[in-house]
Amino acid sequence: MTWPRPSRRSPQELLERRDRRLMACYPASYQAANADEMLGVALSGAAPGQRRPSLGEATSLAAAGLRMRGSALLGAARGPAWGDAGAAFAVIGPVLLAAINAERVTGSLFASAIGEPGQVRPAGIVLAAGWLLAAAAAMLGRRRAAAAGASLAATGEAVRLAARYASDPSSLVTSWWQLILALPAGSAAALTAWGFGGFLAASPRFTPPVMLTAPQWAALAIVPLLSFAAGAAWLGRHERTLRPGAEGHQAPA
Amino acid sequence: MSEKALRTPAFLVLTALAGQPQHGYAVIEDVLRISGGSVRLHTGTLYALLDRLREAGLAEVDREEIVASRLRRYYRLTGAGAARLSSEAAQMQRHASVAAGRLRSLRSAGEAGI
Repeated sequence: MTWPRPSRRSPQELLERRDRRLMACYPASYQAANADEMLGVALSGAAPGQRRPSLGEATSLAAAGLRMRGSALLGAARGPAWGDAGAAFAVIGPVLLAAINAERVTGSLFASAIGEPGQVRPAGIVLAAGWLLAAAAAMLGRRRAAAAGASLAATGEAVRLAARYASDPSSLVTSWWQLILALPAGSAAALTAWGFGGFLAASPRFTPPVMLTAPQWAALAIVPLLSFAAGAAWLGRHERTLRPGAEGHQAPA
Repeated sequence: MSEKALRTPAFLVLTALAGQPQHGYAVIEDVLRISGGSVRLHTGTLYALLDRLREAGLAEVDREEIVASRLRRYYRLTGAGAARLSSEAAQMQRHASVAAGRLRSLRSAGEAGI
């Protein structure tokens, strides 16, 4: 028969350890400034011999900490880093997409000029013009015009990809990055190489071609969003390190 | 904090600090006393309140001490906090006196009707 090993920690130590764990719900900067003081208050309110925080105490710490983390996230989402990232993306994205469409149009013009099979698609010209207008509007600070132009052109790109998907599903993957220019080059390459390597190799060999699976669709949708968020967060952190003292809890008077 | 009426816990914390600068646990005990045992603030709630009151400029840190190798901060009411507490208290007093007056007339009307 085995006996439970007696705990060597005093009730006070156990309670403090548990309260400290609850403090982890708070953002790190808040913990650094306040955890010690709050632990003192939480321990002062404990009954003699109490080993774990009361339900009310635990709930209040966890709820307040998580609420603070939530509002910090929301604040970051409204912060200047997101605005800067969006502004840069609003110019760079459309310029690149205009260039891609222009290259496609000139390529097919050249092909038809030298008698090779190739079709000049008016959609490419329209899309190139649309992206150029969106980039110009973004550069001029005409946000609504830029947003409208980019939305229209993005819809055009989506329609073009959707139309090609039925006959040539792999084109959706190879062209997807054009819609998600915020994607850092590394993860775009990783996504294409590892997530879709098999698909890209297999799809064109079959008739009807191999279609994308649900997880692959999900990866196409989620990875660009995550990458954009990671980029904005990195930009925000980088800016905070350039401004010492900008982060952290309000200093006591 | 906006100019909306203070909620009871915030009002009670300001009332506690109006007595004298107090540290966190003393505020909890004082609020319990002021409210006649009906409001027991938990640590997370107290600090969320203190943060909001400090952000609104109604309370501030008075001083810091190290007690049993642990940081202890004392909080005090600011001038703006005292003004806000005073206007809230006056408002509550007005409401309370109207309520008391109407209850008196309700009772006397009831007695006259018997």
